[in-house]
Amino acid sequence: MTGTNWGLYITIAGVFFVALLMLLMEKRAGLGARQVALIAILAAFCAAGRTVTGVALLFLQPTMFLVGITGFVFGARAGFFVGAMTPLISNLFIGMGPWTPWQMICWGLVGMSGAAVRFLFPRAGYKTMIIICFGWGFLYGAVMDLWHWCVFTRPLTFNGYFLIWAAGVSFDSLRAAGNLLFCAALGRQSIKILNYFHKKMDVRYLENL
Amino acid sequence: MLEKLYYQDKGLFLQSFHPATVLLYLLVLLVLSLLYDHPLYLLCLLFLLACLVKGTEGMAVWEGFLKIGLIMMLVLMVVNPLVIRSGATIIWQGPVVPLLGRLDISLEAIYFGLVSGLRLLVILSIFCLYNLMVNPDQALNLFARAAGKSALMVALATRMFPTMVRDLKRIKEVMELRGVDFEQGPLGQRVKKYAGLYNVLLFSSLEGSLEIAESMQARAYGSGRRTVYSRHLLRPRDYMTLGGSLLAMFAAVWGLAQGCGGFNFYPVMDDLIAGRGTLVVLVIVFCYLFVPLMLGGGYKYCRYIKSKI
Amino acid sequence: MPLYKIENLTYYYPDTTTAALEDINLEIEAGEFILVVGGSGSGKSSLARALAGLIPDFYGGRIGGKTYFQGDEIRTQDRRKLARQVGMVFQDPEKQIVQTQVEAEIAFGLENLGLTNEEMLRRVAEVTCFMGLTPIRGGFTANLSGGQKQKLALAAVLAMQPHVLVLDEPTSQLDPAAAEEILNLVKRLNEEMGFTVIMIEQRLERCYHLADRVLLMAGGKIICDGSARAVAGHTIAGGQPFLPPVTRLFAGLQATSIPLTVKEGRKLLRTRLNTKDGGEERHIVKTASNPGATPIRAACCSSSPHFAGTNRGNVVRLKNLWFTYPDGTEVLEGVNLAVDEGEFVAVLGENGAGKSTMLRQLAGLLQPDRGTVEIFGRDVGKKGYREIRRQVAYLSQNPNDYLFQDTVEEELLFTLENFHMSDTTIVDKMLARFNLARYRRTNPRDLSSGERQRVALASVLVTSPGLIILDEPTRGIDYRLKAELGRFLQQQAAAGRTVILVTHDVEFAAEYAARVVMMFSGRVVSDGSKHDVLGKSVFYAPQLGKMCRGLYDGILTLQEAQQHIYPLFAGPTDRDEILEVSL
Repeated sequence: MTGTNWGLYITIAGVFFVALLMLLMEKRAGLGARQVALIAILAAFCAAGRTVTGVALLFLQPTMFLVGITGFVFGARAGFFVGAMTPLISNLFIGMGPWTPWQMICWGLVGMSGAAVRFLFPRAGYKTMIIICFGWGFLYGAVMDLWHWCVFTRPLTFNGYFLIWAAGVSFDSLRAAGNLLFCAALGRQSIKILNYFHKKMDVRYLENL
Repeated sequence: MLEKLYYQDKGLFLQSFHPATVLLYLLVLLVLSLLYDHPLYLLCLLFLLACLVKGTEGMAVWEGFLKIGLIMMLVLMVVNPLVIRSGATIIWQGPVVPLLGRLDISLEAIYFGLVSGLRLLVILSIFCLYNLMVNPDQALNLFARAAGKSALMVALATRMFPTMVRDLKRIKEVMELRGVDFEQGPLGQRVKKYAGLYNVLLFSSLEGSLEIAESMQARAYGSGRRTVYSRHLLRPRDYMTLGGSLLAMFAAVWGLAQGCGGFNFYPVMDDLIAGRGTLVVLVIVFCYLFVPLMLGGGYKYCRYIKSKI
Repeated sequence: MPLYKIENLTYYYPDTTTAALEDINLEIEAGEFILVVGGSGSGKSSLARALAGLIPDFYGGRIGGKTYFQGDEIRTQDRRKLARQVGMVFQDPEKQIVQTQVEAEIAFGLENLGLTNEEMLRRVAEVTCFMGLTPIRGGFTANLSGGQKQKLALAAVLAMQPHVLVLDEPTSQLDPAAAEEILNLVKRLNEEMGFTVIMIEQRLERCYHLADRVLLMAGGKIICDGSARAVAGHTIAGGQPFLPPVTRLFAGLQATSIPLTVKEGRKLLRTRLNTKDGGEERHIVKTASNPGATPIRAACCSSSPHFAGTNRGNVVRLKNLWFTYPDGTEVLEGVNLAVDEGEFVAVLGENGAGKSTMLRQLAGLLQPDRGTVEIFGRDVGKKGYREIRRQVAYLSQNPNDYLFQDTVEEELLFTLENFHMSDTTIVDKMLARFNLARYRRTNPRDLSSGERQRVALASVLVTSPGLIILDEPTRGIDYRLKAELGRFLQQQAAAGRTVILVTHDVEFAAEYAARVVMMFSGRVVSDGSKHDVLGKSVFYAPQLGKMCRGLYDGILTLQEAQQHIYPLFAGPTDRDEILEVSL
């Protein structure tokens, strides 16, 4: 018996981490009917995008950049929830697995990074998001490879990780390219559309006639 | 096609458990699959899962999972021997490669790759079984008490997912009839075409979200503390399965502490059956794990048992 | 004390300058059944939302005046308390359901009220039984039919045990059978259980007579408030179309007592017919045998399915068409149909009869398993939509599917560009034709539903297609927009284009189509001129047809009825007794 079973630990840690994040996020007030409905619909939208993107676009997915933009427009919490729920919902239909919690964390972080961009550079536009999303294409792959590495290779060596990463790098670059392409093509409109609804999210102060 | 993987209520015995029971049972299986390195134990787990999948009439779905699993297994079996140097039985001495060092392929590493692949199949099967046995809505209900809003959002998103896919298909058709050929042209142009589709769906969905929000508001959502509606029953079958799972877990951990069920690959592999203890623990653990299947058999063939569980 | 009392209510949605509600004064007594009618944009929905407390709480905006519910101002009331008493059901069943499982959905409102589990179990059980949802109680909500979804939405509201029910066009997205079920339930709730019901509805022939009071709205104001009969007279005097056909016919006569139902209409009609002809049966259109029958285009009005094998002029020709969906349901079983240039065909039938599937075959979206589909002489079955899409305009159920450009104009240009048509002068013509010229630079998403539909239609008609295919075009639109659409399609047919539409709306088909095809479980069971098909049917007949059946056969449309029935009431002898002016 090997003393350290990292595969088990990292999977369980993922579950706890994602559960904790979700709990913390929802305990903060301000999730009214509009917010709940909007987050759920965006998550369903992203999940559908992640699931059905067909052969026509070489499996490039028009999804991850939208999660980032959601965070950018609606803030860290909405970004996190939409991100975390995207793999959760789509995996219900395309295959749940022990990788789900880590995917949820990664996607959630994508959403939160959008909010961070907004916070750090208030005047950033979709062009900044293109860079962020491109970066996430690779980062996401790298983090998920970490999970694969922990679960499936032993002993854990850097070389092992490197090989797994190298095996996945073509997929990663495809993902990054997809993010780049879609964010460039759709980023501006998406921000516009989401901003349009963002305005509708908060009930304006009532005026009495 | 999409609904194929989603839970379907077939009215089977194995689907009649309390969701908490199933979740705990599957969690035990998952933990065991990650704890055990012993090929025999993993094979037994796979056998158990195959029986359970058969019991939930999910062979067709399982096949899909297995196909993915076998491909991933192949990758593991190639990667593992290339990077691992711990094996003693070298069967092929390769050239020196920058970054990786000398490529020596050892029998042990291949063997470990094989076992890792087996473990992967087991893990995939556990999740396949989850899809077959647990109504996601009821599983969600378990978490609603702790995280009500998250649970609600997940439920709403799950419910909207098929609608979204349907809308997507319809809008795509509409655009195709308006002269858009999605499958033609260079990539840049195609992305542009999909952009239209994407805009329609995004806008329509977000408009829909306001209507849903209104309907929620009209039903007093957010008017104060929510309670959780639950109509689960804990039957004797649940207690027995819960007990079985916990005992199996306990027996497995005890066994491992005693050195039964462990397996070392490096530098030289252990014997497959190191001693009588390995087999005894194996039988004990799997007796406990087979409880739901035994109950299922009793339910099917014995009226007395059926009425009691 | 009245249940509701509204004083000088004026309301503006955020960022708007026109009042959605203007100076509304209204009292509603407990137990009343109130029907609210009016065109789109008349403020009906806003009034309903004000009564349910959603305006202004949910929407924000500017508000003036007061709304009292049970004596207290509605805005100061606890939301929970209000939700326990007032329930609201919305238009689109797809957009009211929150949970994945039927039972969970029913319990959703109860959870929000913070009830105990025992109480919830009891209420869910009660409502599930009452609504007949027991067979589907464990089902996945996304897989339910539209009718079931709407029933579920109603059940979810009823579980909260309100005593006031506000319904905003609850049947507009449903097929007639499901709509009937919802309306019957609402009627029962009002009559047997004493619910106060405030309902907005477009299918007036089914509920006008049920209402204790009718509110006619226009431009954010209540322009008429009174009993159904009183409002009927007023509606017709004001030139508004919001009446059931029978009532509309007799209101035009300004009789003292206006019939509201087929039964009352028949009674009145019978008195006239008896005095004049001694009960002899009359008819205006008798097929084949009647030489004076209205000429019907195309020689295809025999009621049996037919092949028009020799006719080369067919725009659409379906020959022995079979289709089975991958899941094994057989939807088309040997359909034969031939449609000529310039015909206006309505395809009727219940849900699952194969109407929509046939329409999708026509558009080339589906490949037939057996048989052929020819459009303009080209075999579409094999080659698909690419072959014909330039000559065929297809309008789906949801006009929003067409709107994604920033302006209305671009929407039209988009289609032109796709087909590489460089002549953009047609855009001006189309915009003028559809009354959209002033919205040229407006974002189509900012338009009302009727306008959106016009934009969608314009965007597919911009290529001047020879065949127009519409899937349920009248769903969710009001009488006036329906009439507008119907007339437009008639003009298109007269201009030599072929129009084929699938609809549940028998009234619309009877009024505007020339030919009707009835489908039942994958087959064409009746095909011919509308007088042939609808005149013979008892259940699939427009309201006027039902009223005149056996008394004056062959009448389907309002115009025909006016033409043939008004003279009966114009006899000099009884002018005094009948033509007493109401109001």
